[in-house]
Amino acid sequence: MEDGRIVELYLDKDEQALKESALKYGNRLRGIAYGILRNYSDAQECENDTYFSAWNSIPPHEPRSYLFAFLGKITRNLSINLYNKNHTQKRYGQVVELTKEMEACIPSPCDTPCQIADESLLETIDSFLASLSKEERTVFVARYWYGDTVKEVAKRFAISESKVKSMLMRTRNKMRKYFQNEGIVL
Amino acid sequence: MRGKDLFEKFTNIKEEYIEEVESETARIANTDAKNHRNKSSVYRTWGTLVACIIGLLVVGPFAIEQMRVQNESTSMSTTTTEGTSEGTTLETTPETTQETTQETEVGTEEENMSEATEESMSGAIEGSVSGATEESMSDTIKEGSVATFLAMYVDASTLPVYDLAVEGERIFVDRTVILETSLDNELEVAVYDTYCNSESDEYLCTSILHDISILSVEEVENLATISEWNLDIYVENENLVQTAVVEVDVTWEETHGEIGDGTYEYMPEGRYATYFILGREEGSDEFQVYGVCH
Repeated sequence: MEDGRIVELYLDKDEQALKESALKYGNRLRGIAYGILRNYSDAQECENDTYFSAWNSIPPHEPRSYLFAFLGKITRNLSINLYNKNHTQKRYGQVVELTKEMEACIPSPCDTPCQIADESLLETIDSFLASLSKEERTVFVARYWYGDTVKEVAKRFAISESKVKSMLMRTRNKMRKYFQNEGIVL
Repeated sequence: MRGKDLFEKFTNIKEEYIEEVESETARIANTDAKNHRNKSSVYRTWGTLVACIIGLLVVGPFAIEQMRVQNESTSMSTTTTEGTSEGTTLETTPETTQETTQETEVGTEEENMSEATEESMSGAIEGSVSGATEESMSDTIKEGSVATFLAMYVDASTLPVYDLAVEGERIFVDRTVILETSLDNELEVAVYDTYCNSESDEYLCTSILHDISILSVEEVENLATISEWNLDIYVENENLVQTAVVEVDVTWEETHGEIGDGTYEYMPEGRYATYFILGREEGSDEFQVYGVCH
């Protein structure tokens, strides 16, 4: 079913919207959650919660042309929250790897809260992503938004793992320099 | 700020970047699938050509031998005829009569032999053309289907690992399903569902699933029965981009005495190794069960 039609079902408060969302995007949403949580039942829980969260947020949102991204963001948020809840003392696995790598994008990592507003930071991230080539951007997003492993990214885009690794390293360095050049203190 | 915070903030990047990854992934998957299909078709064509050449190499010597025997028998019969006519013009003496008779007898024997050889050779050639070549070609096509099927075989290590503790007994209107193993991935869940999802109430039975496991490529290759599976049906007719085989160690038990209204049993009682052929179609995220083999 077309995304627009599914959104219409949400707007009409038709429960079929949940079924259609699960049918079309269930696996991919579960994949995003699994990339962070690495636990099937938790991933399943986040997927289910995603539909109910979407149910409550459409309307006012009407993501006709970006339904997957909309649902994916909810799943990612829920997964991170659940991960933080489950691992308050200690961080594990894939997330540790991802967050360590992302730390390399920050000019001067420290424990103080971010010095700029969320919206400004997000604008900077978006403009940085826009400055990348399509290949660099998709690889970067697959790794740090989807939480794919390097192997999964390589498979997704049919490129070698070494190319993915070197591309990610270059992009992280570029991001750090971008923040520095923009004068942003994180 | 730490990497963890940036990772969390990264959630709200523009939707277009996420959609871009989706479309790029789909584009590359489609290109791969097309390339794979083209390659498969080239392999099949080459396979058929090689089979034809092998067939010709096998049949060729027989054909040449047959032509040589035919030529020899023709020249022998001509010699015999000439010998006989010469014999009649010569003066009739016991020696010449004996020689002529011998030559005639020899000629007749050779003719008989050549006829017999011709028949048996033509039989052998027909047999080799219609039997061996067809068999080898059909074997080649089967091997091609298996190769194509295996080329698309899923890498089980990349599948999300489930940890579903659903072991136990499930009782339905027409059947009981007892699971004695865990379900480790979506393929195993799909197969388990086929035992649970009833579309008919014609048979009443218990199935005990001792083990459900996805096979590796090597395990599938080494299955003795794989050549009997009609994999070409799935390879040709379904738009598959990924394949898999799941083995189920299952015991069927009849539990309700009479089977429904006297119709039929699904399987005779006993313990079986059953193989489910699964595939994922182009553009789909989910694996489906396409066939069952034993």
